[in-house]
Amino acid sequence: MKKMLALLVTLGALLGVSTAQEPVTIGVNLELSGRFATIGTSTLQGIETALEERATVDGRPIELSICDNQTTPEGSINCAARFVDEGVVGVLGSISTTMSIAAANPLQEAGVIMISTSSTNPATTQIGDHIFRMAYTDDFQGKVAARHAVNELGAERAIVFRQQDDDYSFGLAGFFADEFEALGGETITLDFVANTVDFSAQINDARGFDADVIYYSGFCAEGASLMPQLRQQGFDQQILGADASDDSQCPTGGGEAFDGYLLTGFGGPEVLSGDAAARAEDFASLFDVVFPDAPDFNGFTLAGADSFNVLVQAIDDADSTDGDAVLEALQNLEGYPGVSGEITYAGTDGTPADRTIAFFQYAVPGEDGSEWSKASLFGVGTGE
Amino acid sequence: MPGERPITRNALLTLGVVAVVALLLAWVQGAGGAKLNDTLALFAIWGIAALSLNLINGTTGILSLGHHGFMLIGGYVTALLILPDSARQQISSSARSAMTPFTLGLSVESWFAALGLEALTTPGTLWVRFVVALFIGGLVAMLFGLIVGIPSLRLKGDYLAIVTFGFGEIIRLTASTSLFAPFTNGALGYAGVPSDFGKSLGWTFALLGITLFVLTKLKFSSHGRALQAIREDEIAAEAMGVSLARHKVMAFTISAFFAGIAGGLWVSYLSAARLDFFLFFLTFFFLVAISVGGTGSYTGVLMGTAVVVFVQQYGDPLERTYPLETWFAILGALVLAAGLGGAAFRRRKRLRPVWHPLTILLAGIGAVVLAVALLFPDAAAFDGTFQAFGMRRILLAVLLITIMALRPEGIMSRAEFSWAWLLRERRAEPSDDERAQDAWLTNPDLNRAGAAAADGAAGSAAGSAADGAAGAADPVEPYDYASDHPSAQGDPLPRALLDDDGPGAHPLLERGTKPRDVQRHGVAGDPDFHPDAPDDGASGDADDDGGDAGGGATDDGDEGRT
Repeated sequence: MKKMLALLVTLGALLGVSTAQEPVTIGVNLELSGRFATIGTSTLQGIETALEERATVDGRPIELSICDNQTTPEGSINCAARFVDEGVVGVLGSISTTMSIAAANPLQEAGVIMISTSSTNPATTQIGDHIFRMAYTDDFQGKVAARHAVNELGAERAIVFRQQDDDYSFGLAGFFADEFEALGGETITLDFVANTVDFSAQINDARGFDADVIYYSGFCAEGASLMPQLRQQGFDQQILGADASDDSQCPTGGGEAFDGYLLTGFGGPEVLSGDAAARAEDFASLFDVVFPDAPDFNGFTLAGADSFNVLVQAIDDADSTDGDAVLEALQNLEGYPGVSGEITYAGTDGTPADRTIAFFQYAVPGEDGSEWSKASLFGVGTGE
Repeated sequence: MPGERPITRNALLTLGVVAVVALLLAWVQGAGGAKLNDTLALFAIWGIAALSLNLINGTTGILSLGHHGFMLIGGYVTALLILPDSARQQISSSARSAMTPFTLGLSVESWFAALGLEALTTPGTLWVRFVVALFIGGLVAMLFGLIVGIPSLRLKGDYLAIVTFGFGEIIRLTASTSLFAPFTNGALGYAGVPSDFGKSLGWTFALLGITLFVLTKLKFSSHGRALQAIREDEIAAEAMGVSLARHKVMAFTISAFFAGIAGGLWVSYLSAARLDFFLFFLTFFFLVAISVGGTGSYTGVLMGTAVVVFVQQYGDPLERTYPLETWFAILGALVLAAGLGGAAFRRRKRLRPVWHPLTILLAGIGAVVLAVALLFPDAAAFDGTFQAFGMRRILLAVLLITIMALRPEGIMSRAEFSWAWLLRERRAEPSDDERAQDAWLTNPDLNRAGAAAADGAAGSAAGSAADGAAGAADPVEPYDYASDHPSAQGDPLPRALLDDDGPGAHPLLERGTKPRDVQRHGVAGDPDFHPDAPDDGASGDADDDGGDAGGGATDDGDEGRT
């Protein structure tokens, strides 16, 4: 009798009957320590909040396999290999293009879906059909910022600070400068490298150029040093930043130099309209419950949450965890109501078709006596 | 007497191990899982880089901090030369690309096509193109090694370290400027480098084996001994006829060549070439591997690399969420182990008291914490969980501190692995030191008493004294430790300190004197002078050897017999 029972159970397992309660595992490859740890933590918190919202798919619990790539390429490859061994359905992350590209190749070869949360380099999704992203690409962000500077701020001359050894910053600065010049403006590009703390050389170069606006395409690690030095040297122009500045490291590290700092980033509930705004609002209040002490609720949080949402939706649509079925569902995803607006992968190379970018402004110190605050101004859609 | 050395046996053993390793690697590549495969490939690639850095840092004794720069050059050259056409088209269609048609046309494939070697342009012969690209990458890196090596001739120590660090950073930063952007594609780099080689255990381990073979052969060649002489004392080495300039530059160029090879495999492993794949962190990890494994020992460096790579890649269970009592239990166990380890260490070093108050304190605290965590896991203090990313780096740092505290010279020190060591063999022939000693002891011009004894005992020729292990057959009395022992009982120092490894292990300690004294006094032609002559007095000799109490004590014992 016992033997019969064991046989039945084995048969059941083989037929997939007993897998109803077996968890669905999703890999998370993020920069949780090292240079981009703050951004990685924001993204992870977004994913975990989305998991709170939607803990099961097809009646099976969802499990995250979190892997810290330490902001190193070999760490990212190691995470990818671990996910291949674990047989995850898909991988979320990573944030930066460097780590994303390192992980994308082995995942593409193994046929595992990967959704990079905020890699903005076009090369990432060109690696293969299994690679998706949640963010817009650099050219869109750079153009939006340049148009705003020329049309709204009335700027004619811009200083562009770019991190010469980082492709995100390098590419973005180029797209901004191209658009700014196409609109009749004049630019000067000043380079710095990672971990620069003293910007006196660049500031001296900037002195001779009578600019109306300053565009900063780098990260907060360097921005927190650059902005106070610019202000001290008498540069009081409007400073525009990109989504890498959407990080509490900037206003806490740079202090009052960030007062009035404008930046572009993933749109939140304030700039979305209709259903999308309501969803984002709900998500934001859930986030406050799950992570009451989190320093950041920003574009990276939303990107993390939505990368999770679309993958789970694709599993749901496919009614299976089979890689090919999920991939097909993801490639045909159209108008998914995400917390950062509607997401469509159908007919794209893995970059969502319609994204809303928003302008934010820092206030240091914040309005209600807080250390700093970030106000959402208005949104611009990819189609506009 | 080279015929007595078991060369054939060693070669057979080595071949056998190579075959077993090859079989294991083949199995891992087939069925061992992606993570193990990638970790082993990373070990091999970093192993090549760490070995080549060890040629400069360990063998030649120059602190070089620019290794990531050489890797970058080798990596970018290799990547550019084997980049597939599809990736080239993507680059040329990109709005931000800085590459020109000329630099985009640099490819081994097009060279082969131009030479009419159509057979070598097929996908099946990619490995030929890769080997050619890798070799060219190594050569270009070698050229830069020459450029770094030449200014280093006038510098030493910290100054040279700064120069090499500067060069490493200059290489990385100029690669992103508009001057070199046509070759490196600036900050954007290349994507789509074939990963068939950097992730293949066959290729990476074959190249690691070649590197290990070449560098160990070099170390024990006359050039290698010259490099080691430079490490020990530059002035003395130069005085002995070692050309400092030639040898330092040679060390830099050979090291840069292998670093370039490692860089080529590294871009293949990462399937892309980007500037932030070549940060100073790489050099830092290699330095850690060298320090842990033993500065100057190639086999040791491989062990150090293994420690660094495996902690990094397999440390992720440390970063999961565990209840606090588990953490405290681990912490308690570690502190307890530190206390017990300290006591064991003191016991081995024969320090008294074995149970130093500090070891008791550590072991006590550790035992209490462990016991509390195990017995009362529900206590209020253990409410909650703890989890932190970055724990493996902390573990790596703790390991590093422990190894450096207990064994500052690293796991292997300067020694290399050898079969004789593994099989605990003793040499059948005397070492150079022993020969020199025998020569002195049996030379009547230098050692009247000893030589007279030798003459009386046997008619054997001076200098052919037997080996240290068979002390009984030795014509000079004080060689025999056993008969020497009773007279040593009155020694001021306990003999127990000296007989760590039993008789025969330390011929220098047992033979009563050291050839160094002879060299120091330099009196080979003066028959009346003898450092150990009875009228000279034992105290005088002890003063000479102030630093070496063991030798002095043995001298006293011998003095009593003559």
